[in-house]
Amino acid sequence: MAVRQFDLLQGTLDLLILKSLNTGANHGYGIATRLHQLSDDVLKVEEGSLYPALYRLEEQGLIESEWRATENNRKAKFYSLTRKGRAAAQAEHEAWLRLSKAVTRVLKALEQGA
Amino acid sequence: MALRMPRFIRRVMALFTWRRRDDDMAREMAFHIDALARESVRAGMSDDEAQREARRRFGSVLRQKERGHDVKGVPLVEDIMRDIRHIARGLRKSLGFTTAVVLTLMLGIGGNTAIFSVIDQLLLRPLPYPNGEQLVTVYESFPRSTFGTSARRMRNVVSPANWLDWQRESRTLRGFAVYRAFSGTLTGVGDPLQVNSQVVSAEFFPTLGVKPLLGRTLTPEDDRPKAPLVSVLSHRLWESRFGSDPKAVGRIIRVNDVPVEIVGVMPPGFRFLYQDVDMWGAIQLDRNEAWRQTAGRFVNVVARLKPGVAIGEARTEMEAIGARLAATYEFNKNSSVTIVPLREELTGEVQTSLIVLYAAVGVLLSIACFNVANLLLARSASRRREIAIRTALGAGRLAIIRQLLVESLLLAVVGGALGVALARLSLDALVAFAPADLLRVPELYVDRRVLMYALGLSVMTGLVVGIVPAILVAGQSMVASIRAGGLTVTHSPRIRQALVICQVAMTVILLCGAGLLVRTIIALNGANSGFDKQNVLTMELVLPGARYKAEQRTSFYAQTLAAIRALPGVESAAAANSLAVVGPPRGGSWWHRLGTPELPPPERPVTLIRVVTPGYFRTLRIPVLRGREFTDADEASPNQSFIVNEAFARQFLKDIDPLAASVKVWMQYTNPYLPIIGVVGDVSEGSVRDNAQPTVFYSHRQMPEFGMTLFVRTSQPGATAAASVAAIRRIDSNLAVTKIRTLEGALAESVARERLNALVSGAFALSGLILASLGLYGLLTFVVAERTKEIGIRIALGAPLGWLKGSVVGGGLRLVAIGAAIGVGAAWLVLRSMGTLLFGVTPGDVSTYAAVLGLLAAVAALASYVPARRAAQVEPLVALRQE
Repeated sequence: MAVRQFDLLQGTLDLLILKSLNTGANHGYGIATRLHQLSDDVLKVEEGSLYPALYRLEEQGLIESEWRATENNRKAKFYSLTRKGRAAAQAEHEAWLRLSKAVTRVLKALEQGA
Repeated sequence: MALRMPRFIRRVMALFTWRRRDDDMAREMAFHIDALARESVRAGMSDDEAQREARRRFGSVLRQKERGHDVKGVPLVEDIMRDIRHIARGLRKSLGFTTAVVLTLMLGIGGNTAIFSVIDQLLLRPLPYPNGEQLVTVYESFPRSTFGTSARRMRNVVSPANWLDWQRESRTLRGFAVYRAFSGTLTGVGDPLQVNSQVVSAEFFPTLGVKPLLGRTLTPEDDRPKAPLVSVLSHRLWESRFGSDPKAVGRIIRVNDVPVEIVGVMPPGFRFLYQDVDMWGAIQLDRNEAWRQTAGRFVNVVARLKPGVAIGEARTEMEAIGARLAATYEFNKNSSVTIVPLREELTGEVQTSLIVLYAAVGVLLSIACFNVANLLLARSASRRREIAIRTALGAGRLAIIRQLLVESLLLAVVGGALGVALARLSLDALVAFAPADLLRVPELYVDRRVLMYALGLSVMTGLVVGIVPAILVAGQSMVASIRAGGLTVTHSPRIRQALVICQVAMTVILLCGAGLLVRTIIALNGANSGFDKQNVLTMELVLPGARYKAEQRTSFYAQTLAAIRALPGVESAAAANSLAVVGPPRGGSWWHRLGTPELPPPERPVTLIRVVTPGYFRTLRIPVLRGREFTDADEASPNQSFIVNEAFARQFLKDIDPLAASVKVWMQYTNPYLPIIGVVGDVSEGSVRDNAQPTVFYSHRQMPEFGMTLFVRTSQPGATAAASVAAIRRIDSNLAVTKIRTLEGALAESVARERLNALVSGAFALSGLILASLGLYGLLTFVVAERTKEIGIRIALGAPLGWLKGSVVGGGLRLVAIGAAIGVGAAWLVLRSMGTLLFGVTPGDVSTYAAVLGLLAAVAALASYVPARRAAQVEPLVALRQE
């Protein structure tokens, strides 16, 4: 069965990027691959939205970047969370949970009512 | 974490790091694409295939980078900077277009900036005294009928008695200093030097509020009658004659052979009304003297408005004081008081000229704008295809308008920068050309204020010329443009024709205005002032009173004139108290004819007085209408006499024989009745544009003036000048001979303002004509290029070449005719305001307008003929193969 791939809402992408950096610095390609794999290939991160999102987060001071060598010894730009970014990731995460719980509740109620 | 700068600053900084940021993003994305490619290779694709696939998956690097810049930088500014790079490339490619536009704008903006800087420095900038706007000059004034007719004669110099009364009574003005021009010969410091000075009262420097650079200014003690003479030097004289020696203060110099102590030096640039004053001394008027009984009016007054007092209040108060004095003293009957702001005193004459020239250069700038707008339209028409393609590729309408506006702004700013350079050069030329007293500023310069003005003007110009083409182009249907291939869609021809018509109309106004000013200067130069000004050399002398008593002065001048008459080439020589026409008369006074009832003073008739030596009328070729002029025999004889001019005889002695009349003039201590021995022709009084005034001539023996102006009629003015000075030096080696020039030159200087008007407006008008004809040429060239195919067909079908040329030229001339008609109508209305600047020509002068139209027709025909000939040379085959 073919798995349908979803495009991400903007706010959601920011949250996923921040959370994925929680475990350590990574480069753009790494972030995209990781999100793709972790979602069992359900979530597809468009490169067209990834980089603007990274630049926007950097501009907001939530992440910072640095050129570093990868394990294959190639130069790549690594992004990591700032202190402000760590706090924002936590807050965004909680907000998302509240939202998705609320949405789930509503859906359930509607289902039972029908 | 590094310290982060505020976002705004970071974003502005980002403008300067654009390239580095761009690189950074490019490398980052290259890494990503490379990683994607490796993924595909691992999945079994070939290298090439993998690269292609990776690129496809990643999408447009360019677009992502742009979005990155949008997030990180200042989007609008960066877009504009990208536009500028793009446009600069385009402009470099079409060099002809760029040059034409930039030069046109340079003319318009440069002329405008130059005139603005003169206006700024003469009219807008603060006067060089603390709170200078409070300073006013105060005059006695008389009804017009008393002295001549011109407005200038309304004001009169002041009697010391009135000055002292004003000072005592006024509550709105303070200070009240008197000043008077004075010219002295400075000796004991290098060659004898004639120095222009002002003698002033003790209130003078405190009223102006300027402190000396060295030493002190004048004190009330210096200003007491018979106090030791002291002098304050100008910075310029201190520099040039005393080598900027601080010990000059305290030194004794000799002025007119009288010892004077230097007590102070003024700061550089200090001046009052006149540029060429180098010394200030005390006037030493006795404030207890009954001046109304002992003397006439001879001082000028400057005062300062008290803080918070409006000039209107001061006027009201001073007029009331004047009326009270007029009611109290017989001497003051009919006299009132006039207050003139110092600013107006300084710029009164030039102000009208400046405003007219500013208007003219504004018109020139409009012509330049029309021209550039036209060129931009032509260019955007030829670029229509490029723009259509860019639109198709996703450029928004606003982006295209922005790009076109940035283009015109860029052109305007470059043109403006060159214009400032042009303004700089023309200001130097203006100062070199204008006599010092015309502008009354030592130099004209381009400073920050002027630069700001030029920049603002350039930006405005850029927007104005760019907005119409931008909107027109952006508003066009993209599909139509591409389908038409950008070739045959006509390019808003009506707008371009309208622009040419406007240019022609404005050029006509400029040319007519300049034509009138040129006619004015010709009329002034050719004005018959009542004498023959050709081949007359003049120079001025002042005898020091300490060494020359009255008879010695008369015999000195007789001896000097005799020596000059003996020089080779000299036909005749004589002297008078000042230059004819422009020199001031010796005075004006009441007179009375023997045998008529003597009227009370205020009702007595008034005449001007001039002093001449024998031979004066012959030398200037002023006709002697009745009787004779003074001779050497008169100077030796005990019997004295007067000569009067025709205006005097006509106005006062109409019904009697002038040569039978005896008159007296209240001019000196004793004023006997003397016979009139001659009536001479009239000479303009004041300026060549004015009429003669009734004048009584004294011989020099009757009124032995110290300073006289010599007139030498000679066949070789150059050689005679040097020989005359040598002859004078042989008689007295301590005299300074000044203002050696031809009479013609001296009179030309007196119309320098009019000459400047004619020259500057003429330059503007010619520039306008060139621009307008270039505009016409450009339009027709474009039309011909556009019609190439049609013309080719016509030629192939046998249309006569003459007819073809005629149709192109006719099309051009039709536009010119419409523009000229509008221009003539507008000129007729607008140029009326020039009335006061004109002489010998009316604002609606038909022959000037006709000449302008003739010139315009000739230039327009030429501008149309060149494109017409090109049309006639179209090769039918080439033209038809074009598509």
